[in-house]
Amino acid sequence: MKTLNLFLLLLISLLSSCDKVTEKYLFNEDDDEYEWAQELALSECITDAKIFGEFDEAGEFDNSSFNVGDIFKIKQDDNEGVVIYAKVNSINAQDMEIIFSSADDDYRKIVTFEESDHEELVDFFQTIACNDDYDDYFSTSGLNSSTQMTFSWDLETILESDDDDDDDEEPEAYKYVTKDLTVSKNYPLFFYFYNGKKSYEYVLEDGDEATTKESNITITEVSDEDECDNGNDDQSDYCDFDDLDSSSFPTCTVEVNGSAYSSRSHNTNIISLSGTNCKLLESAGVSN
Amino acid sequence: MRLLLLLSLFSFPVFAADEFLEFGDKNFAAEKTDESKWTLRSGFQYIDYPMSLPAFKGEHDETTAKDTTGIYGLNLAVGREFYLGAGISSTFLISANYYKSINKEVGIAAQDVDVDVSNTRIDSQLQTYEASISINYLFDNPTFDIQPFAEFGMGAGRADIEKDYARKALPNETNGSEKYYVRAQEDFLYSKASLGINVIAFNGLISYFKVTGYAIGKQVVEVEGESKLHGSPLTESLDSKSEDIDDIEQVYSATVGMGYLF
Repeated sequence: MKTLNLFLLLLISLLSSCDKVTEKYLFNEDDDEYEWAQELALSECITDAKIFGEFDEAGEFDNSSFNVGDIFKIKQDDNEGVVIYAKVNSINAQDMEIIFSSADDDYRKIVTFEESDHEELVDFFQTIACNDDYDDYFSTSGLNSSTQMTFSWDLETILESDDDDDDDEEPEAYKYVTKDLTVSKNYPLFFYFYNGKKSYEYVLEDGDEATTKESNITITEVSDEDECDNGNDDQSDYCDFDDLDSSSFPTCTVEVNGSAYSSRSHNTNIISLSGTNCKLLESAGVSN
Repeated sequence: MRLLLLLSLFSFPVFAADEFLEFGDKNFAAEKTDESKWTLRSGFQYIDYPMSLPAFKGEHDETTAKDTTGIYGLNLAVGREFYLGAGISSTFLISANYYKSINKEVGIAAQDVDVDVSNTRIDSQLQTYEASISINYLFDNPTFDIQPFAEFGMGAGRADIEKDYARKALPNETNGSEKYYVRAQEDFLYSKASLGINVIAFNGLISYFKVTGYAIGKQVVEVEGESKLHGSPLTESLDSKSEDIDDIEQVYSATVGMGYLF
């Protein structure tokens, strides 16, 4: 019987050996090919990720899936529950204009989002998803989705580094920000900013207790007037774009910081708004 | 398939519970040791087969005339053991062997750059048919019998070898891709000599181990394929047919198996 068992063990070993796969590494950091291989890895990752093909398609503004008149509702749970309505006011091959309306003066504006901004944002998301250099503070998921991807971004500003006298290896004063956001092709691409969770933890001086703040922001498409009514008459007025006089709203342009992934500072943003009185939504106590 | 085999492995002790701990209690029946008998055998074999592929020197793979490929196989033999007297016997066997292995090598850019730059696959199949005769001597022990043997044989076979190597072009390279694809069919004759040992127990159940040296003479080698070198825009045909090749190649193999005398 032992002989039979041995025989079967050998048979299993044999069948396992029939299909053998080995791996070897081809280049080291001094080779020219090392850098080229990094480029190849990046381009293959981008090509394989379905979502980037979808984002590229959505980048053709003259064939946009958005129509003039489309309205989106942005709601943040902190900051006294700020609600912002955004309406696509115009769209052409170069850019789209979006009117932001809110009970809060700070968030009323007319924003221009150019096709080139869309492309820069796609490049940014491709880099954080596919370049291993940024693995330590970016993580992404949903690359094979046809509608949306998510990313998480850890940012930090160290105010006072770790004191060697204590046992922990944490800085004595710091500002940590984590952004867990969703990028969806169902909204203009820069609306990722309004879609997800932002957390802020800080210790401003050595010995202070850590303070944590959190904002959850949701975005939905408003398809009829009933959805505008959030039970607060004051708020729903701002969804009524037909009667809205936006002539006094500041005009702003989206600016994309295409190399923001290199920065670790807690208040780093991918987008900003240029123009007078142009301010992005403040979340979790972090001003943008 | 492998799961089934694993299950069967652990089920054997259950089926054979009655015979548990009886190994060696039943010596091969004394009345059969001094008479001729039929035998059936099956074993696993490893052979380092010499390929006859066209030479190629790529960036991450090289093929030379001396290349071999390790192949695993199964054999099945049937024959008769003729008892010659004084513990000496001679076994005549007719056997068929089938070998198959797939070896793949993936060339990853670097430890921290996880992208496959090159891939090599060697798919080898070998079929042989042979006749052999051995001379054996039986040491009749109380528990189990030991039977060393020397075996000689000759046979014919066919090898089907497919090698596929591809390297991707890297950004900034001109004509950086490489390709080497060949399919070779080789017909050969061989003679062999083996040394081994049979362990006989369980009323004729045999375990055996043997090492074999082969002298292989290839008769016909037919190759189809093409190659493209790094930096070259040209694809070269590797089609060829060689007959009556003079070379005799030495090959060694090891076999373990089981059989039955009846």
